[in-house]
Order: sequence, then structure tokens, then C-alpha cells
Amino acid sequence: MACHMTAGATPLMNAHDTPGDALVDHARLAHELEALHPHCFGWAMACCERQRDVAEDVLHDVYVKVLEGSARFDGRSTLKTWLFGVIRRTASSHGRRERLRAVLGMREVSRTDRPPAASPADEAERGDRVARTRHALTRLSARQRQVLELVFYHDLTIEEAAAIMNVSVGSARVHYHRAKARMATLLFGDRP
Amino acid sequence: MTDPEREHLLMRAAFEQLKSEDARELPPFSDVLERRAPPARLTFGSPLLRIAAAGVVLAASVATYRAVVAREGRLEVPSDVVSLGAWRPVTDGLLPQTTLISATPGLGASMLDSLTTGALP
Repeated sequence: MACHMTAGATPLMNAHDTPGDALVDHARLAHELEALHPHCFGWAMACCERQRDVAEDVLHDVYVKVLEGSARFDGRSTLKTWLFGVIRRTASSHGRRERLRAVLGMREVSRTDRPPAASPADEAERGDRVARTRHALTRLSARQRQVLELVFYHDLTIEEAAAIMNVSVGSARVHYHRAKARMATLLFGDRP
Repeated sequence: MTDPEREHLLMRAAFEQLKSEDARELPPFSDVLERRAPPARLTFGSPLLRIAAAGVVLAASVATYRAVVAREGRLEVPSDVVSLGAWRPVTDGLLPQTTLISATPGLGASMLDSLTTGALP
């Protein structure tokens, strides 16, 4: 998997001759991140069991890591694939930290600045279908959920999904087929 | 269209709906970048923490109680009695002539001779 947290020459973060070059590269990197932000948000939601606050915290950590240079893109894959790997690992360590906090009784202050989205009557059915999809995803294992999201939601290949998930292509393929069969049963029953 | 193909399309449609729902709730990039995580607070919400705290309090109480009881029941002994250097056996009073046992009496002699003559045989 082309994902490294080490220093080195990168297409986006080269050694800079002047402070001005560094600023230009930083701005360019921020621009690239912003362009990928919708994809990153969707993937962060998938990695954080669709908990929006957690997903935003994870994304914040990832963006800071990338912009401050502690996570560096080495150009061996697409920026999107590399970024998804960083998001997956950050979400994983965030989850471990949250579980430890829960055991120790340390809780974050809940955010109350975001009212729930209004659901108009004409979107009730659509909302119901989305809720069913979300619920079905929770019934899958983490690997199965991730491979389905990467293939169906982000339009990636199984090979790219394997690289992001840091598993072999064969393993990703097995997860994909099992997940797809299970998801079809959960969403459509026996008859699609 | 075969069933697997139809199933594939339906699943793709389900994920497309999920994607558009996420897009509607997408937070601005700048908001996420400037986001500050709220501070974690220590609360007693965790059962494990409650049990640990109760255990610490119980252990401290038991240790304090045992220390107080042990201090009250302790026998106060004068320091000169305790001192081994100052200790003498009680039977020392029965042996005023310590010289009696300082030398071995000769054969056929009496210990009383030494008391009368002042010299050991």
C-alpha cells in the first residue's frame, strides 16, 4: 500500500527552496484536500459507523496531519487512495482511544450546535430506504462494510479497496462477495 | 437482465442514495479543518471506575482501622528492659561469689575449703 508517514520527496510536498515555495505547495495541497473533501467525508462516515461527529473529528485529524507534513504522500498511488488509507487508520486509532475513554469514564462533551436535519414528508420514503441501507450496513463486519462502501459508494476497484484496507486482493474479494450476498439478503430479502 | 445483475444495480442505487444523503449533510471543508475537539471530562459514569474508586476507599479505611487498633493494643515496655546490654538474669542474686565458678575445683577438695581459706585448692 502506498502510504507512508515518513519524510521524503513527494509530488505535492517537495523540498522547498524558499518559504514562498512552501506556501505555494501548502496552498496547493489544501486545494487538493478540499476537492477530495466530499469523498473523504463519505469514507470517514463509513469508517466511523456513520457517526457524524466522530467522522468530522477523524477528518480534522487527517487534514492536520497531511497539511503539517506528519503524513506524506509518496506518489505511489492516487492521492485519493492514499488519503483513504490515512483516514481508515486514523479512524481505527480514534476508535481505540474512545473505547479506552469509555472504560475510564472519560466522555467528550456532546455537541449540541447541530440540529437534526428536517425531513419533509415527500422525502419520507427516500429517508426510509437510506435508513434501511444504513441499518443493513451495521449488520456486516467492519471489513465487509468497508469493501462494499469502497466499491459501490466510491466506485473503486477491489484491488484499490484492498490497498486501502491493507489486506490482500484475495481477502478483499472474499469479503466483497460475502458482504454483497449478505447485503442483498438484508435489503431485498430472497428476491431482489 | 439476470438476477445478479439486477441485484448489483439495486445495490448500487441504494449506495447512491446514501451518497447523496451524505452530500446533503457535508460539512464545509474549512469547518472541519478548524474544528476543535471538545475536552474530555472525567466523570463517574463508568461502572469500572466506580468499582475502582470504591475499592480504593475501602482499602484506605481498612488500613487506617488496622493501624489505629495495633497502636492501641501495643504493650508499652520501659526502654531499660528492652535494652539487651542492660539485661541481667534474675538468678544473679543467688550467686554473690562469682569466683566460685571462675576456676575448676581440684580432685578431692571441697568448695567450702576455698571459702574458709580464701584460696582455691
